[in-house]
Amino acid sequence: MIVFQQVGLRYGLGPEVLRDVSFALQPGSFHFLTGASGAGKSSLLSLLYLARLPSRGTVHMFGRDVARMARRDLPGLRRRIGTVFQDFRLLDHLSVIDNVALPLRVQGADETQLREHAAELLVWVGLGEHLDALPPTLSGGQKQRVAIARAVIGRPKLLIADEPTGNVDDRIALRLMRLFEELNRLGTTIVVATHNMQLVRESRHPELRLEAGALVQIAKAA
Amino acid sequence: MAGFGFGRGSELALERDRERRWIAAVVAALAFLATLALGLALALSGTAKRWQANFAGTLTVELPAGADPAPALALLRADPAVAAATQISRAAAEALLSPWLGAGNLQDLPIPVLIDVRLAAGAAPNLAALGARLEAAAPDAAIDDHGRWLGGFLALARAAGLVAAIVLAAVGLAAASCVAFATRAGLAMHREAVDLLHLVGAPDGYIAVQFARAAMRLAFAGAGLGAAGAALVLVAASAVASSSATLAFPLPALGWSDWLLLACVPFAATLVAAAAAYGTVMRNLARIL
Repeated sequence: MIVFQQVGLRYGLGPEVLRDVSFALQPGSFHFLTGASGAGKSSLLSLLYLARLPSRGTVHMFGRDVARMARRDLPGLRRRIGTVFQDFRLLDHLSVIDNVALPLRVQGADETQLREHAAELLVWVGLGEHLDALPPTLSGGQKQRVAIARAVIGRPKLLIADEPTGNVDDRIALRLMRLFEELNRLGTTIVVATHNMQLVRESRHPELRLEAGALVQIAKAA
Repeated sequence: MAGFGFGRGSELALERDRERRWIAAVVAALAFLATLALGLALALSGTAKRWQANFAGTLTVELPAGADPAPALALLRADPAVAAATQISRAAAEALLSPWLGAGNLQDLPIPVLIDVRLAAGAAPNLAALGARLEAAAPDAAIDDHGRWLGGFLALARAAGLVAAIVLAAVGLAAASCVAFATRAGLAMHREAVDLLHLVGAPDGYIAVQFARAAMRLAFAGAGLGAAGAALVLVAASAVASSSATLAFPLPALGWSDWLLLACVPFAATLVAAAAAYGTVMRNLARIL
């Protein structure tokens, strides 16, 4: 369970970019996060993937108040979260398989096992022929699938995807959504930030809508 | 083990940073200075110890030039604390003086009569009482236990050791500062990759180890070169010094234990660099989430 209560976030001494945001994500739920550019989606996501702490309010993740956690405990919590960044954030000097294996490698997993697991995942996302390729040689859609494989290799409890359909055509967008649905059926809590309102409307999943830093709607999509 | 910071991860690819290679050059210069200072201190210390050992259990009795040494020799040989008392011949005394005064012009010099005294094993005679008895048997006799001269040289060796220790500490501090500066620059340069490692669950130690390993590689290469250069200088200096007959304190060749200690300089520099890089990363990462 992930619970935000009266959360506010400001950068430095600037104005609040998130104001009194409260919501709860049940385990195994699937939510879209929507809002215009500048509404605070990226800021809310940065709180979800623990890149930041709230300026006020409380964030409970998996039963723990993140603001009260010791710094040494954060890596353990982050390992339960997988993130697909909008700009992918792949390391260009590492091969595709090494990028995907990264979350397991930082945990000290057995090298042979993690490579096997990464290779299986890359086959699953349709990149079995590109294990040793470097990211700069891949298309946008392929990079995105590498990013997804990296996000899910640690079997996260929460998967966050920031504009996963922003850089791909409709066919690949549909395929990505099926991928997320499949992960969700396996019990992963999913949050997908998107501008694609058609995607939201066509889905049965609820929507968290941000306007000017405030959460204005938590509802089932039509 | 990666979770505890000892993993083999190299995601930051720090070895590709050409901007950080100046660390090796700086560490090479610092290791050169450190090895040279340590080598000279060891050489002086070795000389002092050798001379102290040579002079232990010996005395020199000095009589005015032309004095009869027989009464003094008889008194000394009768003393139970004395194992042997031997007069140093005029020729031997001239040979000792010739390096300083030149050969061939000592014949007319009033050289004192010298008696070399070897003390019995474990004997510790009362030098004041022995001097008084000698004075009575041979007027103007003087005892030299070499303590005053040797004491000065030992003080010099101790001072050299202290200076070497200060140089080593200063060099270590300078090396650590350089590595810390370069590490902070590296952290800024690789900020995005560092953030990514954090977000996928890497502990600070996992990241710090990568910087420490990169610093170790550069420091070891630099310090190895610097120490090797200093070793060549020490060997050359020792060779020149031992071939010169006019040096008051010829530098002895360094012993194997001295060379072993000098060989530790690159390893010590490597450890200092690794510790500085690791500490810098841990301190800096602690300031961000």
